[in-house]
Amino acid sequence: MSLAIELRRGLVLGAALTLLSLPAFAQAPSQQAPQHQPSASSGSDASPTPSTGAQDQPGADRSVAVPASREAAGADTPVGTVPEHDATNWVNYGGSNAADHFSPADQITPQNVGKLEKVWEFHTGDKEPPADQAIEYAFENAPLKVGSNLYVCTPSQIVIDVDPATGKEKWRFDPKVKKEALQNIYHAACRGVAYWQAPEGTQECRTRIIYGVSDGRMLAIDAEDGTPCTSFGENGTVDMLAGIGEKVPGFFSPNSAPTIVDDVVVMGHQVVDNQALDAPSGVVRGWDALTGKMLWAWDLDRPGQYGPPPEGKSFTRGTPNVWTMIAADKELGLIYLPMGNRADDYWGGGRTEQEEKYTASLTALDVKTGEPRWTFQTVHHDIWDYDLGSQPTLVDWPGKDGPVPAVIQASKQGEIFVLDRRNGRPLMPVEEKRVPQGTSEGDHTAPTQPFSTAMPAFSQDRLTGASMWGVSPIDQLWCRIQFQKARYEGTFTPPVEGKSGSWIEFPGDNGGMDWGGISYDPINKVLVVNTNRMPDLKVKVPREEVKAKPIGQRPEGEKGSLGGPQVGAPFGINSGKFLSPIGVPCIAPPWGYLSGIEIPSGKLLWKKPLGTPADQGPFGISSHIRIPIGTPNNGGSVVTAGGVTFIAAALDDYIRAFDTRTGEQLWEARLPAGGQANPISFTEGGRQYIVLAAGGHHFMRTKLGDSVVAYALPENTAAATTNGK
Amino acid sequence: MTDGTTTYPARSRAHRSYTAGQWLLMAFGVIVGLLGVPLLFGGAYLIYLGGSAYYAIAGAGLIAAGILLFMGSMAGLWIYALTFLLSLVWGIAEVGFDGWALIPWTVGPAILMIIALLFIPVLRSTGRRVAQEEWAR
Repeated sequence: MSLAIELRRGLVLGAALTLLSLPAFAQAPSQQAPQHQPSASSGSDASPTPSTGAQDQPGADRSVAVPASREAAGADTPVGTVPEHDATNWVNYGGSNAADHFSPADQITPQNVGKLEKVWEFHTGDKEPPADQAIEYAFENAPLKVGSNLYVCTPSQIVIDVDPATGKEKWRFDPKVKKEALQNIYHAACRGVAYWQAPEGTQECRTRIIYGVSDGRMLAIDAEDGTPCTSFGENGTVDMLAGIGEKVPGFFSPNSAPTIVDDVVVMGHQVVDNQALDAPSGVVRGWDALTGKMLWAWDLDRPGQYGPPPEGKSFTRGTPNVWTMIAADKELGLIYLPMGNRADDYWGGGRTEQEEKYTASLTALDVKTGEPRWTFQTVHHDIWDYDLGSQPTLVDWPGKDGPVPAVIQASKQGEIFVLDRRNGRPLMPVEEKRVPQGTSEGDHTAPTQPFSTAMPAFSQDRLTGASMWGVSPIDQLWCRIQFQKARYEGTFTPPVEGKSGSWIEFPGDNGGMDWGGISYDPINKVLVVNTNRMPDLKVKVPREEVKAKPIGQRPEGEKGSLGGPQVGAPFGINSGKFLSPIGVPCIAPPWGYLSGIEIPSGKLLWKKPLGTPADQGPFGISSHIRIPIGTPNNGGSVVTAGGVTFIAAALDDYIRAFDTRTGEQLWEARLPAGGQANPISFTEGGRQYIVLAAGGHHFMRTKLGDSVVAYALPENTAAATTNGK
Repeated sequence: MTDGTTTYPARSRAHRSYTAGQWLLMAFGVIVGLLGVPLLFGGAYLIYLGGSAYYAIAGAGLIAAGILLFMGSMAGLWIYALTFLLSLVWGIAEVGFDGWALIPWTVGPAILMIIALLFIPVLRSTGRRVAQEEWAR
């Protein structure tokens, strides 16, 4: 190793070298992408069921219970709304419940985007606590913008209402999330919150912010002043752990924005990955946005039952969960769940029929009852942690006989599936192809996997020994030895065990595509996709050699580190990016791309390496090299009606603008910290803003901070553009 | 072997003072040789695993070049140059003319090549001095 460093130092002399040394996100503690999963059950402690009149029988009429409770809350009519998404607002994590990350605001164009300037920078004050607290931050928030309010949610899940034009704080609400929960989760994050307008005549909290926090609570606060809505749940709080069973802080942790449709708050939650088969249930529930009463629960291993678990039982333990954002179609009355896997990602033995059916699937539920309407599986018998991380994107797919309501689902394995969202049938052909076979005893591999052959696939190029890379022949050799020792037979190489016990998973479990989602510009009919091209090197650890303790059993000194003990499976898991000992990726760049895809042809219009090594370099020294080599990235993009795409996400602290049609970079600006989040766009007072949370990300090893930044055209330019219309 | 063959310089060091350039050359020889060690052994392991033979060959080349450079022999420069050429040719054969992919094959080896070339004057004077001392005996 010292030799490698010596050589490396020599190389540093040459500017060229610094380029290569991307200690990137070196060792994420034996895990990586945010994920979670659940497992098979033992109805251990039966927490009190939610204080709801929800029924055990499917199809039972809930209309009786709901209005009664609504009357108690003082509503005249039972109908609330989520505001329409237009140029002036941003009402869901993905823009609207359709999650297309598109803003109809069109003031900023490819011609004037170069004039953008930072108009304000807001500091939340919520900075990562000192290392001894063992809480790691990832400011993954996409704010909401409704009226003259910008709702920011910080990693410790403080909600702050910021004036969108000035960046001045109006009020904040601190839920005081339990420290143990934040220590136990992969990283402290709040991807977003939901906004809802209560029916006319509602006595308190006419407008609300509703969201889940990592210690298992759902909260409703007044969107005007941040005070808890006392008529919601108990004094503004719903215990999401009701019916979940054993309560290990953080094991069950909502941190993605809820989706509200037809007055129903729909939310899943994260379950920390690879801890134990006996994990919290992946149950997805719907609650009344007015009262906080649970309306239904989709506990997939209790088909046909949509109420709380039977007395003395919990929701089925360890089932596939939904940790990311959900999309919804109000007209069809459907919600679209991007599903994860059962607990213990890499062990598929003993899964139930229902778990097999829904793992890594896109599943549509009836928003009023929680009953599944259709399901489409993106990975059969997933033993790679290819859970769906991207929020589904609903679009009008241009068809021969007019637009077809479609849902586009991006996946970690680099596939983009296009389905008819009424019934789940593919609109672009899906082919089952044979994949490598054979895994651990007691488990099996699916003979085929689905490929969306008419759409571009990402990060599925076949690696060879010659693909191995480094900054010198020595670290390259190290990578090559690992490559030779590991099992690798292309995409979907099955997990193996044995002496070396390692396999290469490519794309890795951060994608392909992950929680940043994809963006769709319906004017230019371009789908914008940011992808990672990074392999993982994973090792099965024989049970007797597993040292990691599962969540809740880790000693004080190991707080904050999450191994992969996979209790209940025959082996533990040690999973990391495929990097050399000096933290450099084992394959040559690009490690990340931004691409534009033409709809409906599926033609790849452009594909550009995203990000430079400017803020990475040997020994933590920034290289300052500004060549777009394409870095790993997390977070997503926003597309605007002006034909401009904005994205940060990469390992360098920049936000960039691209021409949505050509992919040409038009503008960039230095961020105060890493931009691993989704920018949003809206107009306020006749001026279009681009807003991004720039607070860095723990496993991406980008600069941490607490900033929210806003960009706009200079006042005179903005006015001129507006007048010119 | 008798006195006056290639083993000679090592012995002669005991009663010889070195110039700064010679000290640097010896240090460079040590570095080059040490860099070859992991390549040779790791490379042999890679061959055993069924991988490329390049690293073991390059490692052997670096070790030989390092020893000869340490001894002040111009042959060390030639052997390094051959190893460097081998890296270029092998790299291009494996990944083509992809600039990024060629980095491990070219950048480090080229830096060492440049440093080695800078030692030519030292190697020349060392060589002459060795020759003179040999002749003087």
